Amino acid sequence: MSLDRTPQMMCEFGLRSQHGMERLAAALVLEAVVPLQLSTSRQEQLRSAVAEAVMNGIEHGNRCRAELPVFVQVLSGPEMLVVRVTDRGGGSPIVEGDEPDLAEKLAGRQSPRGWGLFLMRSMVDDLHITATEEGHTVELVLYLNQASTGKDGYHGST
Amino acid sequence: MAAHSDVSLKVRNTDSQTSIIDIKGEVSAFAEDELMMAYSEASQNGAQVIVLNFTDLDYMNSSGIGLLVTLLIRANRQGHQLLAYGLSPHYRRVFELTRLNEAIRVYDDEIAALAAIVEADRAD
Repeated sequence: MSLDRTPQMMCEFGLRSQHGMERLAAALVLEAVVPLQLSTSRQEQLRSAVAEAVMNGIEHGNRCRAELPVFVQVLSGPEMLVVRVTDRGGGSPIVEGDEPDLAEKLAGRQSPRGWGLFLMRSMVDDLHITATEEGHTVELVLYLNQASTGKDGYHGST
Repeated sequence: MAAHSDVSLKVRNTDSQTSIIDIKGEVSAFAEDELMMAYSEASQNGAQVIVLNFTDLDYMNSSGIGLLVTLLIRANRQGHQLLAYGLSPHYRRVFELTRLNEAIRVYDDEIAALAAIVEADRAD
């Protein structure tokens, strides 16, 4: 008998495209993944990544049209946690601008903003973006075998 | 939820050269007006070093990071130095990833930040 390693749905929900909903979405996701017993640092990373993905969907996908929902799905399996964030702003791919560079920003050659996608990528182990005629989906992946990712825990300076 | 600022900022002057901005709540795009006003207040009496106290920071997103970059540009133009303390491990990591920690020196707490300012003065 083989184990089913396909991630299974833990929860899904939809939210109106209003600022502030990104924090609610992150809180709901963190509540859903309590059984996975993620470390505090992984929870913080997930919170930031989900909030950024939802905010991206609200602002750039649904263009802040409150009536358009952002859908969130949380799936988990033995090896990974997957959070999918889908907006309804279809028709155009998500444009990935230049990699944010602080020196360039301080010199005025890049906008001070534009950290969202960078932050999402930095917080998770894998990130996939797909676009259809209906909308965009950002898929955030955390591998539950934390030792293999190198992204769990902090190795910061003082 | 309404789109409004959920941050409160308090400015303290520790001496004629140094001001501290205590940040409580969320640093997002909606904090821009409050943060820029606090910065003006912090620097109006001639303070050259502005210290950002993140001890009571609840949440900061990518827009908030952009806001700090804007603040840094303003500080650089005005010849002010920005320091920070009280960041949680998560937001310390965010500072490292964005390299903000190379432009805004980060300390554990207020005592360490103020000691560093005194030390820098002695060295000058």
